[in-house]
Amino acid sequence: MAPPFRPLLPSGWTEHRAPNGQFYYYNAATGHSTWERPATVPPPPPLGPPHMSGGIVSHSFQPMPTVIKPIPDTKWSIVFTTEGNEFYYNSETKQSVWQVPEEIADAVKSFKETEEKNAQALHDTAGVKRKANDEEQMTSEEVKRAKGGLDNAANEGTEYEDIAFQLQFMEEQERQEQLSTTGSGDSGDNDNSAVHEIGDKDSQTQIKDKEVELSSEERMLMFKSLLRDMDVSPFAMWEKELPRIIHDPRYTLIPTLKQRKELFDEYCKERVVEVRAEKINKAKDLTAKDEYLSLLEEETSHRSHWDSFRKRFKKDPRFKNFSDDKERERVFRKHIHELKEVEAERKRIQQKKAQEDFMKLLREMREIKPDSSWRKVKRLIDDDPRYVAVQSSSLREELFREYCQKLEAEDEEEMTRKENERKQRERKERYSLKNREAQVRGERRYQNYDRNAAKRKAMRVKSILAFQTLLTDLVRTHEVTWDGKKHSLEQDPRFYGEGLEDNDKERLFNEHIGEIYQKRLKSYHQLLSEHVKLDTTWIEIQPTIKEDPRAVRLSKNEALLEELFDKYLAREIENAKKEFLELLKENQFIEYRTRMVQLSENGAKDETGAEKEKVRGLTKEEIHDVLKDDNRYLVLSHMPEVRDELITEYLNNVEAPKMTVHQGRD
Amino acid sequence: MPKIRHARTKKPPEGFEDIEPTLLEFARKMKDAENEPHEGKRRVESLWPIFRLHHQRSRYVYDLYYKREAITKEVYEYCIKHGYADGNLIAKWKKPGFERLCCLRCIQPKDTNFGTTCICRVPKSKLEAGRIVECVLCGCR
Ligand SMILES: [Zn+2]
Ligand SMILES: [Zn+2]
Repeated sequence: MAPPFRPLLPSGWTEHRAPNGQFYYYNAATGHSTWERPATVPPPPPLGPPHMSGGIVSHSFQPMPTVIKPIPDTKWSIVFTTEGNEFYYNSETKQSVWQVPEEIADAVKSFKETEEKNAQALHDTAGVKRKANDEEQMTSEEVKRAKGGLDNAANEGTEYEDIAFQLQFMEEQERQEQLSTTGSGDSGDNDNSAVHEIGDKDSQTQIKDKEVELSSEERMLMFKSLLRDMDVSPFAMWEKELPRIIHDPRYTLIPTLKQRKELFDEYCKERVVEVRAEKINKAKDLTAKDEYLSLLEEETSHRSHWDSFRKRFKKDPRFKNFSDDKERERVFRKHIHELKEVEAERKRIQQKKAQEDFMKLLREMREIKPDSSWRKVKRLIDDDPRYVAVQSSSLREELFREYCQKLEAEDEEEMTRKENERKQRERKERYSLKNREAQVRGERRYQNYDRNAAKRKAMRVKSILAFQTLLTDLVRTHEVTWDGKKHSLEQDPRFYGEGLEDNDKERLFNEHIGEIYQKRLKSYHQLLSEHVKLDTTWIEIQPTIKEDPRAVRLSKNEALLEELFDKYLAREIENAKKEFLELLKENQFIEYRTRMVQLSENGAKDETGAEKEKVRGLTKEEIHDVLKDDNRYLVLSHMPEVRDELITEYLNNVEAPKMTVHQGRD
Repeated sequence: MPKIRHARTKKPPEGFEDIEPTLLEFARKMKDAENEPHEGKRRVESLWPIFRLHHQRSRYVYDLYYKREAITKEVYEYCIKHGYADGNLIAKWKKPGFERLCCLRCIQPKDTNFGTTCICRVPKSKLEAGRIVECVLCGCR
């Protein structure tokens, strides 16, 4: 497969062609693949580390026989693999290691020395062997790299699967190639037969009695023992188990991956039977134990003994189906121990209850005092079942003493409690007495306050009255001010009435002069009404009234009097107008006639009929005539134009709304 | 590509629990492969990991039943029925000459350019020397 001019590949590596035709290199043992051709390594250091044998035996070197040589005086053998490696195998522990175990280091050394001597005699094959060895060894560096690759393969799940997938088809290819070149045979046996041939030749020429070639059967067994040692599950995935077993020397005993896979399947087939059997046995053991336990449950008590139990049930299937006597006894003892613990616990609870009940019994005996005698009390209660339940008489007495102490403590407690209560009660009483006193004091204070207020109020009224008489006596005109008059008022003792403040006095003073002013204004109005008509002017009247005391007393100020006159006259005119309108309203005749006029003008018939033609509007004279005797008419005689205006206005007012009413009726 | 269903209506047969963890791992990997982004890859190439897992999973079940005799007929049939293994592919493996068939597509004549089966089915010895062989369907070569 590899072109002849190319250097040999290190052991474990195979050459392949990628889909694009490019060569790549694959190490089945490490799962490592690379485009670069791995360099052939120089001769290795003595006792170099193990190399990871590849899954596919390279066709470019001659396979070596697998040989096992027991190392004298040890349990170990040295195994030479088909690829020229060696490892050590312990036939007793089934352990396989690459490195020389320390315990046999000397033995190996001397063994090797003798081998060396033998080897010199066996020139041909030994030469081949060494050559192969040199070519196939890897440097320690290479191993590290390979191991790194392997770890990666284990970690990154997909890698090993890809490898396996690839490998499967590479082997297929391989098989086809072999078929086409050899034209016969089965690929599986091909390698083996080659090994056998060489092995046979070896044994014919060199193998001494101590040296035994491993048969393919043995190799297969060792490979399977590897799987077993790694506890590979029969349900495992082959590709996933690969990284776990690849380190082991026994892995290399089988030359191709395909064969390894087949052995793996075989191993699984055997193992699954065992696993099933184990499972069934386990289940059986479990039921047997269950049944044995139920036997113990039913037939033992905390007082049972092993020997008698065994004698009694040794023929019972529940007894004999379970394990062996040793285990039966162990389980029995464990069970009895548990029962004893349960029993002890039950007793403890029972005793506790009995003691509590006994205490209750004592408490029911009211006549027991702290200093009662046990001898006497005992006689009172010794027929009670609660007395009997406490079996030890010394315990009963002890409990009684305990009870008496308790009683004493309780009595003491009771006394302190009562003492405290008494103290508290006294404190409370003192407190409530104080409270009452305070209340009474408060009430008295309130009553005093009340009486004083009434007194003060009466005094104030008296003072006000006194002050008012003072004002009446001393203030006879409204044309004074508080500040101007205050001084003269202060001369009188009535000014100092009890309970009167300064502002009270000022207020009373202002009220007083206000009253005087109103009285005098009223008199002035009276005076005016005696002389004034509605058209009277100030100039006309002023001479008439100016000497009248009713004017003089109000004010000597003519301008002020004129102003008051104007106000008076304006009000009088307003009143006269209002009253005249009242007069017009009161006089229905006017309204009636006005309506009649309106009806006839509209051509409507009048119910009275006769006067139809005569209907006409009342003249102003007629209206005046009707009203002329009324004082309210007469008052306005001084303002006839105003009176006429009012009449016209009234007539307009009467006509307008009534018109609408009539039209609405038609 | 049959999906694994966990919401099974029927309780799996006894012994299924022995292989369930591995099948679940396959299911997880299949999901990862399906979700793998395929930028920078040819469309066919992005399917290869899925074909591989499919092959490998069927092989696992096949080996368990026929080679290791580690599972019962009930478990085996249950696996086929629920898509844990490809029954059609396994049926092919039982025929001589198809023991290691990569996938069903590679033996479908209409799927290739030449109306023949996939190039991966041609024995190496029948191929011209130095010819580049590439299975584009499932990537087995
Ligand atoms: Zn395919
Ligand atoms: Zn194909």
